[in-house]
Amino acid sequence: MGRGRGDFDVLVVLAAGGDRDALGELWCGHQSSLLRYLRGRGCDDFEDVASQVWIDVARGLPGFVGGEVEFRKWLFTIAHHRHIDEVRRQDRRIRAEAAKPAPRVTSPHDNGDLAAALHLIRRLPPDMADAVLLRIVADLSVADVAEIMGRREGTVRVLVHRGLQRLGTMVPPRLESWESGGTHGSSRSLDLVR
Amino acid sequence: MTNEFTPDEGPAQDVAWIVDALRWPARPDELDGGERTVNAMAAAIAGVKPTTLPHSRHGRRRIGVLVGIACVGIGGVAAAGAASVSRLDIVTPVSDEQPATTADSVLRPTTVTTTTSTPAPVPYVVSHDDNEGDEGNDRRDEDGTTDPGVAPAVVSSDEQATTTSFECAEGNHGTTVSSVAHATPPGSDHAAAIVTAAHSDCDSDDPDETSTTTVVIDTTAVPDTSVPPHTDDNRTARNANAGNDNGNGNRDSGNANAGNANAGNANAGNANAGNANAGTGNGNAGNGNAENGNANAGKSNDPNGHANGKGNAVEPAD
Repeated sequence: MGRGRGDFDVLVVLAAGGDRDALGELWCGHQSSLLRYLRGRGCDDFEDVASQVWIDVARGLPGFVGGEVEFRKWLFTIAHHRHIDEVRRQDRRIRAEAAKPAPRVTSPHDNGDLAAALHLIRRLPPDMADAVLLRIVADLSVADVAEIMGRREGTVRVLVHRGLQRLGTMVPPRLESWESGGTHGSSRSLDLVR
Repeated sequence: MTNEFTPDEGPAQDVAWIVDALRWPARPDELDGGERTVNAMAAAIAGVKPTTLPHSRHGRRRIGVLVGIACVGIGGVAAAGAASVSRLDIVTPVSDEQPATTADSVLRPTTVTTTTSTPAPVPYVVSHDDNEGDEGNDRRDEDGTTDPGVAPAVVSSDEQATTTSFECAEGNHGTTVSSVAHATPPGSDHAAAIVTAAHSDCDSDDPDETSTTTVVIDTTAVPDTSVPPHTDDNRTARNANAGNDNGNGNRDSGNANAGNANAGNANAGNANAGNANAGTGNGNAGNGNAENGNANAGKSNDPNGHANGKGNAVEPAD
């Protein structure tokens, strides 16, 4: 994300030409957020879906125009639609997953923090979860999220706001270590609030 | 991270750890299987290139080169096979003034296929008036307009002539046979003319001297250009020629073609292939033959629709 526009353009051009290093770099830079988005959406086969998303990306790379932000928006647009397709196929399984009990959240900075966070997000209504994930994980602007979701920007803001509020009600009481700022990235999170 | 939360959507401190967790850098387990995915992406890119015209110059060029290499290889095999065919001694030298229709592309040696990125056309016109010039790339309709997409059933442009001469330069026997097949109208004499041409010896004993084959064709029989290209007679003709055209023939008829094509007629397949394909850079035939024996074109055509002849090497015409 610290890459300049020109560098990313070169990377995309190389990747579109089949350069494996460039493809690998694209993949490494976005795979984790893609997986988290799909996991947060409750996609059981998130790895398979992610692979399919990447293949779609590869097929469309020769026609892609834009910088890293546009690429991210495009990537998550594909993921969004892929997930919708997946939901239509596995609707029952997803509901069963949402009904599972939440894992024990002992600390936000243990190895299970990501899993716990994703599990909480999966308990949100689908639209809320989608908006929150696209805003936080995909790091997209409200306008981009609105475009992907086919909603108005105001609606997206409300969805994100309510989604975060609801997440706050789900989170167990904070641990002392968290409040004392001893966690990784805590200062960064607090910056986001302001 | 570029997007800051606005106050109305900003996360409460209760959920700040969720935001952090979600934005935490990739963990090793999330990057497993990268090589497999990258391979799949590379394969997807390789597969999609021919259809993305504005952005696939490299891919089209690469495919053209690959097809060309295949044609060269097949052409060499075909040429070797053709050389082993016994030939009748009906070769007669011709004057230096060659028919305009024996364009360079017709007599082009197989080595010309090195220019695969710009496939050389395979002319159908075998006998023409001298004033037609070098029209190797296009075939002419009766009204004189060019129609590169349709090969006439009868190509001879001079209906008054009772004989047609064909050159067989530099041992390009397959092309000659092909030309004869195209120039001969369907009918009882068709097969005989082709057989004669096929058995003719167009290789020169003296490598310094270009020998030619003169094939006498009774075109007064029925040079009916209105005959549909897919009649049995025509099909037979094409088979015989075969080779000649895998590429063009197919492109011409679109359906009947290819298929009919080579099938069965071993000669055809071999003879031409070499010449026509390789020489002209028409990939199809080449490909098709390579994989399917003589059944050629058939397969190659399918994915490319009608474009056979020229198109395959590069891309579909449409």
